[in-house]
Amino acid sequence: MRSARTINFILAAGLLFLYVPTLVVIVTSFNDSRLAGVWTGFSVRWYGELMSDRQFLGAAANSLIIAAGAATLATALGTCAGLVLARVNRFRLRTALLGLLTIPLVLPEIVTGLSLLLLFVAVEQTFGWPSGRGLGTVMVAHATLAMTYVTYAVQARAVGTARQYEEAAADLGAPPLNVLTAVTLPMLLPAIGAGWLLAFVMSLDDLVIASFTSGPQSTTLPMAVFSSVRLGVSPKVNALATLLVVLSAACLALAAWLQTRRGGKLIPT
Amino acid sequence: MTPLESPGLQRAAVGLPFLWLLVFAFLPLLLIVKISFSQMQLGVPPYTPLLGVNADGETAWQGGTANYAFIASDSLYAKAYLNSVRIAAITTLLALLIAFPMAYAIVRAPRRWQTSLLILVLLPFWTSFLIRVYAWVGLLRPNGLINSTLEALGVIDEPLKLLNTEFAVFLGMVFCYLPYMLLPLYARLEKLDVRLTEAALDLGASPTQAFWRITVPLSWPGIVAGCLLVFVPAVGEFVIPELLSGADVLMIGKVMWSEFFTNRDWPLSAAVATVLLLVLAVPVVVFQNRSSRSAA
Amino acid sequence: MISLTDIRKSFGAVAAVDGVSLDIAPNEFLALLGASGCGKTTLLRVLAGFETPDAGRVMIAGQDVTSTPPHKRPVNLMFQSYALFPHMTVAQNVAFGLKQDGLRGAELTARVQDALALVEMDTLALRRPDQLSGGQQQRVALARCIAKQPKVLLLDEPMAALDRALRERTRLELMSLRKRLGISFVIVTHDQEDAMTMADRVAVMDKGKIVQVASAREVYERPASRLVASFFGEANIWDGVAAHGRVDCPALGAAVAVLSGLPAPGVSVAVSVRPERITISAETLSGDNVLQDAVIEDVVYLGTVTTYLVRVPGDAIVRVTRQNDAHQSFARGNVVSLAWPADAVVVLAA
Repeated sequence: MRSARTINFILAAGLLFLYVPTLVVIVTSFNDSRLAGVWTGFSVRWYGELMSDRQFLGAAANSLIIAAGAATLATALGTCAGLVLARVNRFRLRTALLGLLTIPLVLPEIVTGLSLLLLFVAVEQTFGWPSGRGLGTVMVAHATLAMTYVTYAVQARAVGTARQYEEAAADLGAPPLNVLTAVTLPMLLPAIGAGWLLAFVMSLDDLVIASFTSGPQSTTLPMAVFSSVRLGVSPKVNALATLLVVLSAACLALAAWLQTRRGGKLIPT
Repeated sequence: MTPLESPGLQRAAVGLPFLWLLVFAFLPLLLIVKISFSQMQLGVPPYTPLLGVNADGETAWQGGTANYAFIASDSLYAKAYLNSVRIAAITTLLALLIAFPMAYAIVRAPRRWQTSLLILVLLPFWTSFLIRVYAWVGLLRPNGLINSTLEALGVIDEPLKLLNTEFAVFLGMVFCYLPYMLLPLYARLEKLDVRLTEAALDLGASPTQAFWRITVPLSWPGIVAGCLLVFVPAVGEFVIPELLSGADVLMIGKVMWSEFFTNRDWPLSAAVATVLLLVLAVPVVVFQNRSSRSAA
Repeated sequence: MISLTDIRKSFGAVAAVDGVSLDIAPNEFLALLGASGCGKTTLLRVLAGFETPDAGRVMIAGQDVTSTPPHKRPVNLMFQSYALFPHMTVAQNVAFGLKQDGLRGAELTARVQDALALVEMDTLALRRPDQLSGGQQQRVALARCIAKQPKVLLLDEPMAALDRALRERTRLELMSLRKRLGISFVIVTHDQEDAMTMADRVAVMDKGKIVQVASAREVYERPASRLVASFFGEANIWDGVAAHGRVDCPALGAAVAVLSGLPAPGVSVAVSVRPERITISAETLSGDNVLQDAVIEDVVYLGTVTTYLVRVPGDAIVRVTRQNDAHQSFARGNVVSLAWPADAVVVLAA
């Protein structure tokens, strides 16, 4: 069929379009030359320079701390929300909770960033805390954005997991808290793990919200990359980009494995 | 009786995320609106309180709509809003035209390839947005890969101006937002029963007719979701125009960024953001209504 | 052992259980039988504690448990899907309920072992549920319930996922288990064979109400209503008008002689006759009820029996089943006589 060949061609072209630019960056990161257009030989010297760049290393440490904290917070909050949305059909705040969950999803990042900064400043004015912005404020901001994604991942998985397992546990004499820890959460662990990874990657990737909510001592990796890129393309950034792509790919692979294990779906539909 | 039907656990499971979002998602929006009525001042915080003490020692209302008046008076803002909406709309359309056949091809691909293809589509969604934009800077620069290749091939004598054009913005936008369009389309098409199309063909429809009369209407919710997921963030996009368009292409995200980070005018930034939210509320409400009506 | 008093439960505007009262004796095997949507599963979930009734009272072993949560009730439910925890082994599944009772160490191990031995699954204790066949999963689910030594075992469609041969075997095993354990069984089923082979009593449900509770034999031979007659086994049912000692049935073109259960003459009623109680013959028959000049319209061969659909002079189609033997069989178009005794006729409300 001719139309089938056409759509397959578009798929292949689309995938090329998605991958070629990033692949070029990865290849360039191993180019010995400072000029992207000229290949002078394979080298890992830019990785070496990256590893001795204190500014980048400090930013990377900040980013990892923020991402781990934000992902953990987002997972705790998102698991609560996802579970309750999947398991309880009617509760008083359901509509309100669903509405609140869409706010971080539909707001442009630049508005989210500004709004959270204004909140942190207003809270500091009123309560004298937190004094200034730092790792903690970025963490809270990222957790707010990421928890909506965790919520949807957990909700989708919980809807697909029969309520009967929980009922069976209750029938066998387990009080609600035991059912939660012995049956509900273990069965949702793949979705919870995938949600954590997604939140981690999102936090690691964010430039705009971090720019608004971070303080002078808490420059994140994307912020460092951004200011470096504004000055021009640098081979060191190519090396850093390659490392970040590899890290994201590893997180995705792990999440995909978690999600599809025991018959789960890669994308909740 | 599932654990979440126990009152205590349910209260905790609803309460924690609810309070969190109330404080960190809803309250900040109100603050933006509030501070948009203030004026810039030197000091901490860098905006005047709405209720202040005047020269006579009385507490008085100090807020005003000066920021909005300024936005209305300077045509730069109107141009930036309109241009952002235009660029976002064209981006959305282009993304839809590319993503639909891609999603369709993945759904129709042999089962054993589907997961791999899906991971291929998801991977860019997971890799750093900034890195992906940066990749285009490297390609489009005057001495970047595209120009140096074309020069080496003798196609051109001097570098084409690729970077800092509107073309570069469209390229970057479609490239970065394509996965956001693909995922909801795929999710919808995957649920679509192949037998429906087969039934249409069996009843004498041509493949083209079956596509337009069966596949497209049934994937409408996916199309709406994908368009919203692309259009809304695209209007407020900052990184892509900042890195790929230079000073030529005016977009509201860039304007707001410089009001905030360069001019340090927080109240004006808040007003720009409030107007942006109003601009975005229109398509969201319209599309949500249409899709809920077609679902009913 | 169990006493249900006027249980009511609605979901929105639908009354799933609409005023059910029922007593279940210790060591009794009761089957709740009905078409899907009749409320039998809701009633079972009320017993297990998953649904709180809108009205009515549930007593188990002399205690009012109406608002007791499921984990504090002395009953256990075997789910239709078995609901074996997929992240635990067979042994862990069985141990789960015992651990909730505070059992640990050697005693726990012994009880798990005993329960698994009872269903002959002790050799597969370390497998995970997805490594078991459907029949094996069902045994583990059963072991998980009986390990708790409940006062009442509730079973929701236990045979639904089993093939025919396994069903027969499981029925026999459930009956022997009941004898050994000495506890009450309540089984929900839509399969009349389950009810007939295992249950001491059958409770037939329709639209949220129990329409008849009696032994399987009585439900079959003396159905309380038209619905019971047609749901539990097959039946010929004809409308008619009561007269003295008979019911006039226009569809048969004849009067049906009846022994008992007749209302006052002139009242509209229905009569039911089981197909296997009707004799079919090429010769002229005699007896309480005889229909001559009937024509065979269709023949359905079913192995042990053959069902004949016979058109009688009044234009009704009468269903007759006849044990297959070496002798005579009939073909389409044959003209036959039908006869049945008066004691085979049950009078039902119209």
